[in-house]
Amino acid sequence: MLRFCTVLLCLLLAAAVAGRYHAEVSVREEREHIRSLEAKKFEEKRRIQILRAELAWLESPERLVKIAAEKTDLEPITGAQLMDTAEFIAAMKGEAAASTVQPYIDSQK
Amino acid sequence: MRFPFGKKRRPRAYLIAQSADEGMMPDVKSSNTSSQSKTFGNGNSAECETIYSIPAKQISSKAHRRAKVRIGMVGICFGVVYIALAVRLADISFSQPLRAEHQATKSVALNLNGPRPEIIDRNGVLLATNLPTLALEIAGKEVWDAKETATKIAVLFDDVDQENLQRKLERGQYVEVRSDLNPVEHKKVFALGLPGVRFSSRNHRFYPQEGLAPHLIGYVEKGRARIGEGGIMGLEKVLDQGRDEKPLISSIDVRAQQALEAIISSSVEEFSALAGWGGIMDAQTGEIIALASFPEFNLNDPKASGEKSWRNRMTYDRYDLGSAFKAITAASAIESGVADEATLYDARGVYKIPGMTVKDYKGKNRILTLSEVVQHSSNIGSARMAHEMGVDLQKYYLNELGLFEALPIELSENRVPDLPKKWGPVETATVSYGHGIAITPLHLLAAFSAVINGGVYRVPTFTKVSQVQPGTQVFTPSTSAKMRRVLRRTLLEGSAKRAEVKGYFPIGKTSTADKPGVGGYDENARISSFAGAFPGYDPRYVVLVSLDNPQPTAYTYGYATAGWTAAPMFQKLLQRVGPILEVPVIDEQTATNVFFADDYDYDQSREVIGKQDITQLLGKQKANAEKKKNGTSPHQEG
Repeated sequence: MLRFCTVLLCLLLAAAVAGRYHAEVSVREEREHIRSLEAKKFEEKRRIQILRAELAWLESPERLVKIAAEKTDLEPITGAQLMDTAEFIAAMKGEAAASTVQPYIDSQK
Repeated sequence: MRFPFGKKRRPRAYLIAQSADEGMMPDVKSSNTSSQSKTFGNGNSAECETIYSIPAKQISSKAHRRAKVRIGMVGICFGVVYIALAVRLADISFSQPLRAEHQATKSVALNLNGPRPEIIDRNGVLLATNLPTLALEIAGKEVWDAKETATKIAVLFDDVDQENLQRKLERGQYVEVRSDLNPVEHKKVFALGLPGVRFSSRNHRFYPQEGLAPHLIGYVEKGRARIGEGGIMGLEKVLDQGRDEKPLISSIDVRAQQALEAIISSSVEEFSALAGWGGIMDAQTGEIIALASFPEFNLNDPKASGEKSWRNRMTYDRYDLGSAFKAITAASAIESGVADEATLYDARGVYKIPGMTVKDYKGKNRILTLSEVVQHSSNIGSARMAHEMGVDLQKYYLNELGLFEALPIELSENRVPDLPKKWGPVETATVSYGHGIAITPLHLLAAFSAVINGGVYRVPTFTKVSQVQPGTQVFTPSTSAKMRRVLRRTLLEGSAKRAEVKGYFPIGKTSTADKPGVGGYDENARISSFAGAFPGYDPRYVVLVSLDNPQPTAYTYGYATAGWTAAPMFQKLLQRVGPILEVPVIDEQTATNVFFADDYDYDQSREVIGKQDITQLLGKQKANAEKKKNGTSPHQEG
C-alpha cells in the first residue's frame, strides 16, 4: 500500500512537473506572441497616426483652395449657383430636362 | 514484522545493536549479562532468539509507530508539494495569460493615452495630433572626444552652438540637442557613429491645418505633448484643465473656417485695414462654427510671427462696436413695451441732452419709425428710444445679454467688458448706439444671436454640443420675429444693401464705430462691422465680421463705413458658407411667408430643410387662415 502510494505520488509529482513545464513553455510562447503583436500594433498605430496627419494636411481646405486656384479653373460653389428642382426645370425650359427630373421629384413625394 | 522499506527481515543482531543504540541495552544487560557474552561468544542463535524475543517485539511496535509517523509526514510533504504544484499549474494555466493580456492592454493604452488627446473639428477633421519623433541626446560621461562630438553635431545642426555643447560635454553633462529629429537628420547623426549619442522616442504636437484657426486651436510649448502640460492658448490650454483622454471635438467646421479666414484676409488687404476678425455662431446651439482673427500665425511655427498675431481679437480685445447695439436697443424697447415696429421717433436736426448733443451721420432729418431708426442707423432715434425706455431697463437687458460680465467660455482668452463708470443720460444715449461701452466681438455675436433666434441667449461654446442646453429667454419669440423683419428691411432699404445674397434672405446691421483717440473719439479711425444672420426668415447662423480702421478705395467712392466694407465681406462669406453649411435656397414668396408667419414651427425647422419642408411648416398657417375666414378660431379645435 505504502509503495503504491509512493509510486503514485511520484508519478503525480512527475506529471505536475511536466504539466508545469509545459504550461511555463506555452505561457512564455504566448507572452512572446503577445509582445510581438503588441509591438506590431504599436507600430501600426504609429503609422496610422502619421498617415492620418498626412491625410489631414493633404486635405486641408487652405491647401486645396490654393492648388485649385493654381492648377484648375475650379472655384468654390456659391449660393447663387444653387436652385431648387422647380427652378432648375424652369431654367432648362426643355421637355427633356423635365422628363428626366420629374420622376425623381415624384419619387421623393 | 515487516519493515516499511523492504521485504527482507533485518538480521536480529543488527536489530539488537540498533535497539541497544536506542537505549534498550540496559534492560538486556540487567536480565542476563553473562549469557549475553556467552551467546555472543558461541554464536548460538536459539539462545539469542530466546533472550531477545520480548525486547524485539517492543522495539517493533515503537518503530512501527515511528515509521507510520514518518510515512504520514512524507505523505503530507508530498501532498503539500503536489497541492502547491497543482495550484501553481492552475495559476499559470488560467490567470497568467489573463494577466499578460491585461499587461498588454495596459501598455498599449498607456502608449496611446499618455500623449495629449487629439483635437478634431465637428466633422472629424484632424486639427491637432501627436507625431512620434526622436530626440537627440548626448551623455557627456560616455563621450570619448567632446570636441569631435560637438564639432560634428554642430556641422549637422546650424543652430547648435559648438563651443557651448563642447563645454557641457567636457563637464560630463547630459545634453538634449534636439527634441524632434526628422528621419533624415536621424540617419545622418546615426551615421556619425559617435559614442554617447542616444536617441529617445518623443511625441511632437503637429497641426495638420497649419495656419487655420490658430487662435481657437492654440498651441503647446515645444517638446511638450503629454496630457496636462504645456498648453499656451486656445483649446490646447483647455485640454490641460482636464485629464480626459478622448479627442476634444471642437465646434468649428474647417470648411467654414477656411472661407471666413480667406475673406477676412482678402478684405484686410483690400481696405488696408490694421486687423480683421469674425465669427460664425450656430444661433440654436451657441456653437462657434468659425472664428478668425487676422493677422494670424502658423501653429507649427508660432514664433515665426510676431506677438501681435497671437492675440485673439474676437474673444480678448474690447472695442466700441457701434451701431449693432441699435438692434439690441430696439429689441429691448419692443420687449419692454415702450415701442413697436411702427413707433415714431423724431430724428430731425440734433438731439440735445445735458452734457452732449447727439447727431446722425448722413441722417434722414425726419421722423422715423423704430424700424427706420435701425434701417438708417439713426443715433438720435436710438438715443430717444433708450431714454424712453430708461436706464434701468436698458441695463437690465444688457445684463441679460451677458454684456456686463466676462463670457463663461472655455478659452482663457476672455475679458470683462469695459463699462461706463457712471451711467447717466449721456451714457444711456451713447450705449444705445454702441459707444462708451467696450466689449469683445464675441459678446456682441452672442447678444445679437439672442435678438434674432427667438429671443434665447446662449453662451458661445467652442466644443461640439451633443445636447442643446436651454438658454435664457431674454426676448419673446414675437419680439424676435419683429426684429428679424426690421433687420431684413435694413438689408433691403437701409445701410446694408451690399450684404444681400439671393435665396438666403439674410438679415443684419452695419456698425461703424469711431475708435477712441486722445481726448475723445477719433473721427478718422474706425471699426467697421457687420452683424448678420442667415437664413433671415429662420436664422440658423449668426455672423460678425469686422475691420480695424479700413481705408476707402476707389471702388467705395471714398467711403470706409461698414456698408461699404464689412457688408460686402458678409455677402462674400454667405455666398461661400451657405452651400457648405447646407442652408437651402428658397424663393421670395416662401421666405416672406415665414417672415410674417406667427405660427411657423421654428423647432421643427432646426433640422436642415428644403423649400418643400418649409412649405409644409407653413401649411399650418394657411389652415389657420382658412379657419379664421370661416369664422372658427384655430385654437378652439380639440
